[in-house]
Amino acid sequence: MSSISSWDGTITSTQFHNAASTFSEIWNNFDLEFPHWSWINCPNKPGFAATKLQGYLSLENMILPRTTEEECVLAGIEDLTCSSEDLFNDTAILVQKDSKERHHYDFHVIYSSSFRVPVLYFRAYCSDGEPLAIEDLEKDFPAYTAQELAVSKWTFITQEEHPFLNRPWYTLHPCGTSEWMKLLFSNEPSVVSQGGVAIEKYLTSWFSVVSPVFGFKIPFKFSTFINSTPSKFGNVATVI
Amino acid sequence: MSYIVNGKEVAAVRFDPTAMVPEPVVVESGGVDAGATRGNPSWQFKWSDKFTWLATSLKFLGIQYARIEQQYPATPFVFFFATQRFTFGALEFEQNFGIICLKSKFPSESFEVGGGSFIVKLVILVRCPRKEEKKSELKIMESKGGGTEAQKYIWEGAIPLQIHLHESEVTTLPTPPPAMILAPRIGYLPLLAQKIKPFFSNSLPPGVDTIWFEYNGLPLKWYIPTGVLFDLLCAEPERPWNLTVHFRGYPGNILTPCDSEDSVKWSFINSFKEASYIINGNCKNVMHMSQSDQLELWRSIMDGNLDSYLRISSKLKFGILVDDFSIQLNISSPKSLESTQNADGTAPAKTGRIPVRLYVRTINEDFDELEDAPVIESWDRISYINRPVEIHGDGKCFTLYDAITKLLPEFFGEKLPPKDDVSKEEVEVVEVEQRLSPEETNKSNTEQSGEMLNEGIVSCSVSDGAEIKLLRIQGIEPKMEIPFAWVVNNLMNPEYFLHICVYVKIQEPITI
Repeated sequence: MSSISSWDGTITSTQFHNAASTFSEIWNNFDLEFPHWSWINCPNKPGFAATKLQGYLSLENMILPRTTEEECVLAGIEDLTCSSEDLFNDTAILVQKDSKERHHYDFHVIYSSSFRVPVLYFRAYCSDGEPLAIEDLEKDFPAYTAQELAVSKWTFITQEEHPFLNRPWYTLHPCGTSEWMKLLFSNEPSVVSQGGVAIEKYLTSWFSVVSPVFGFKIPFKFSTFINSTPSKFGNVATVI
Repeated sequence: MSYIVNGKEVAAVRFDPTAMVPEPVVVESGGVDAGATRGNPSWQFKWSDKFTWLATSLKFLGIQYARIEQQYPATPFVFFFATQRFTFGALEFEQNFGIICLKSKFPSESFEVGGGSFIVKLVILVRCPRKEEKKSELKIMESKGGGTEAQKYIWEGAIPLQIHLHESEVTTLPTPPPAMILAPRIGYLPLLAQKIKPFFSNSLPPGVDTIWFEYNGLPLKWYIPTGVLFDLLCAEPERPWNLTVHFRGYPGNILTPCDSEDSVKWSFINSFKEASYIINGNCKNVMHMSQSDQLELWRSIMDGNLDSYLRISSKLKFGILVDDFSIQLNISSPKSLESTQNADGTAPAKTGRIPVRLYVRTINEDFDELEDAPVIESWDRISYINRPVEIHGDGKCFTLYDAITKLLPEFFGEKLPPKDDVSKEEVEVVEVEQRLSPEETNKSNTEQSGEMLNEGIVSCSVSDGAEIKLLRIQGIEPKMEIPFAWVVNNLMNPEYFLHICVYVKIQEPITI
């Protein structure tokens, strides 16, 4: 195990599997008003015997919370998007609009052997099952995500082949993940007090960075619970 | 492959234009191949009467001829075009062939093969022998200019395509003739759009173009290099490779979108970044590339310009895998020291992770001949494994066999002793073997089997009777004893990934 200073922000496939099982267990025990995470096993796929990891973490049929004024302020972008939202702040219209435009999201968290980090794959569809194009998704995303999309068309969200399902899914590019994971923990006082980065915390922290892309946040009570729970699987990296 | 012409033997040349490591040119005699139309597809093929195809054929034959000439500079070969006439009931057919043969066996203006009569229409080139000389085949890869010899073959390698417009998109009569083009192995199918479009633009229905290809009804994943698609989907190489092109109705549920050259470029750059991350632990070198370098890198792929590619990629300072076997070789034979170092180009750096994309095609039915392999109807028959191979430098020679055992341990159970497996599996001869002197080859064999016995192989069977039928990299079936470092350094694609195609026979159906 590496020390926190030399740790490169990555985890092994076994650590990912352990983290995923704890993460989903705790998530599902909380009443978070979100769908449950489950581990999907893909056994007997040729070529996957080498890693014991034959599956991924999945949360399906999620309906994204609507972008609110608060989030726009958070991102420091108080612009037309927000004010136009206010104009239509008529509950009757909102309900009607909501039921019409309700988009369902499926999220899969898959371990990347190349980058040695979790990678988020997702797809979105209308209530009738019609898949959504990236242009439709932009309207669901908070303004800062839409901005990022416009700037980095090819390196932020792209369609890639789902490693287990062989179909095109959207994915968040993982090439910077290990770096920001390392950054996240290098200034974290609890890392010092707990003697290292607990495996369980890794995935929670990762998800806390990834989920705002879609305009939702991990509830505070959930993060604090994970942080206060003693680690079952030990640390990803230790403090010397 | 041998042909009987008027009772006489016509020696034929066996040469695979899409194989990248130069295969020895085999000049055989004896034996009868009754099916003239079923000869070796690498040099015998039909073309339509269209001038375009003739031009392509000329280029195609020319490439082969140049290679043969290079290999056997003094051997008198000739190549010519011939038309075969045959009747089927009341119908008369004509089929055209391009043929390469030994000059001494040139069959004159007309000849008969396998019941069909040929009329020679066009003799393209005759090379007369200057003096009898035979180049030594036991030479180690040499680096001339930039890149190894194998790299040059890979960059020049192309697959002859015969592209048909899908019938649902034909709006004119008669149906447009197929387009004949050479598709670079390291290229991607959508990049051919500009060349293909003129053939079909007049026949297309109104609408917006989004080009995609299919082979036997299977939509082709454009982000897989063309050569890899060919190796994976054509068990028995089909030349020209018959593909269907579509400009409408993109199957977005199966293929990731590709609306422009930019899609292909970014798919390439993202793969390149991934490879860089695997090798270096970060992808800063690719991220920090200047715009002009990035553009030049991409242009080098588009134009097949190896020198320009090497110039840019050398700036990126990728660690080059240590060819530990070559180092062993140096100790035992000092003569080869110089040339091996040339082959590596630069001083080897330490690297433990190799970017590999592995495509496992599973086949349930048994088949003896590759041409009898069943057609793939769905990508579900192909398992795509994107996992780096980790090498721990423990001083032993890490072979291709070792790499495959790491990637696919489930196919190397106890019932397949490694030694047998190696000999049974391998079909084609690769020149690497010939480059090494017999002692060295033997040495590596014994060393390897010793290593296998000591370490033992973890049995992790997916199902009983699973067996690797074929392993193909860049169109060749390399011997499993080849040092993996050599395979990686010479046969990888420009984005630093080694693409390996494996055909696996599994008796009972499995769920994928």
